[in-house]
Amino acid sequence: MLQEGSVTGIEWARLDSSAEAEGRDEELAAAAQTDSQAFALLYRRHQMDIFRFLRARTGSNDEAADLTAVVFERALTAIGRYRPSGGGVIAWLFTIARHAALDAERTRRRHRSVLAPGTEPSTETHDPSLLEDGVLQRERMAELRDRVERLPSVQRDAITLRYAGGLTAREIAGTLGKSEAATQKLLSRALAALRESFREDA
Amino acid sequence: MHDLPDAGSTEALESRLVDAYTVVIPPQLGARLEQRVSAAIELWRPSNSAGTLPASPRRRRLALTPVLLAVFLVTAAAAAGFFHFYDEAGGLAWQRAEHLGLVQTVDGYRLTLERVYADANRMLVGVTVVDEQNRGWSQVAIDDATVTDTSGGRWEEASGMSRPEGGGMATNLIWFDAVPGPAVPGRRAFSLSVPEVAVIKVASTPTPWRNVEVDVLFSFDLTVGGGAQATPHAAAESNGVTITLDRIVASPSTVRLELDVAGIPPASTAWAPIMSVRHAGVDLAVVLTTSGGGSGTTNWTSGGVDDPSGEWIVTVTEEVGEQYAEGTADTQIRLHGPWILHFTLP
Repeated sequence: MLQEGSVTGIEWARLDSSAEAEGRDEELAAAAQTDSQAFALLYRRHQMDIFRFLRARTGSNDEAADLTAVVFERALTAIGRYRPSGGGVIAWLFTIARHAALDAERTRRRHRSVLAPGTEPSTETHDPSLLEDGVLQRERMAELRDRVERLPSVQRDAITLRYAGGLTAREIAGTLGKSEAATQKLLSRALAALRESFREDA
Repeated sequence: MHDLPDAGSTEALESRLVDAYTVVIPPQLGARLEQRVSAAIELWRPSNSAGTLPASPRRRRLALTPVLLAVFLVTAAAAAGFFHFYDEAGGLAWQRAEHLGLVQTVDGYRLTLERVYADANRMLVGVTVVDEQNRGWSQVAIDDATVTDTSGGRWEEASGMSRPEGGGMATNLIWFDAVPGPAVPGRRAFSLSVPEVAVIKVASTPTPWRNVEVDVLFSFDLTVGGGAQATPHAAAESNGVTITLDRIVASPSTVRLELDVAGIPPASTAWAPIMSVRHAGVDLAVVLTTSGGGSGTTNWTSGGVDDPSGEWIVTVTEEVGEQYAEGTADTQIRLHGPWILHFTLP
């Protein structure tokens, strides 16, 4: 299914997380090494996936938008060195995103000690769909996200890459530097841990 | 505090996770993001521009500016003439393609199967789509398409391009990989299925595409060109790493090379070769490499050959991998060769 629009004279269709999509990404990445238009298309293809992942990791729309810009700025400077590998371009972009999120987390930790109580990073949401939902539903979603945050970091990453970033197991494997089989197990364990956390609280 | 829900089934939990992370970029933030990345792209200059000239400043300014884009496309494309795109992007395959001109119209969307080309590696299809009812779309495009031959073989879509020719029209080139197995040249019957047309009305950022069901099926006969397939198993060793050419499929549209690598150290990602191909005094650029995650890669050249017989030289100058570690910068690993593979096709 097409995900986003064209911004130049040639427009590349994105097919959902498929081999075709990966093939198109690789062609765009190859072209982007010398043509900024191709990079612009890569940006457009993946900006929402990256934003959703970073929104999940930071809990803030503002910070996620800033980090999304950082990710594509870093990718732009590194695109000349990009070489196709497991998980494809999307895994490469999410690796950059994951590192950007970790850097931001470290920065937050450093600043946290000097902030006054109540000045934690904003977790407000502007999502229209969420505003239309009831308070209970919003609380349940927030609760679920909190449970994910309490998982071991690698499980948390796998869950957010899968359900916020929309990556396949193969792409997650490429991002985390694991085999696809190990990633499948990791996702299963993370889901099992989430289920267990509900059971314990019940 | 509300009552805690249980996790429910795995499917229900997964569904809730998707819901929990569903967000949209607020318009102001989206505009800020767009502005920042656009500026970075505009300022960017490729560090290694071998082979292709960088985009002109005018094209850079146009990148990532959807509203300007719509205006640009309407005016520029109308002046250009749409077959120019087919000639330019379709290259040799388009020039050699059979003219079909088959037309089908569904709900006011007219699809024309202009030309088709096929050989041992790939099929190229050119389809023009027109919104005859002028519904005010900023763009229309062909989304998914599939090709099957009379034996039931499915030609998998490899890549595609769509160029808007004004808001209600687009030219589309789609490449399909040949059905795996021995290439059988000759006249054959095919069908091309186009289930949907994608449409978009640029109003805000990001703007979603919508798919409109059309379920168009074109049936046609086509002479499939030839090509040479071989399993030369040519190998070269350097620094304890052996690279073997398992299979080559050489045809007019492209040359496909399947390489296996042995003795390479583990990396976080699959290894990719930096390579060149030489045949009959001509260098063919490798423009696409894919990996199934194992030790092998499949590599395609930008153009093909009419006569694959004679000596071939495949030179891999480097193998490149990435090493990731939590909290550190990515490390690129480069293994230097060269690995030079010689073989002859009959």
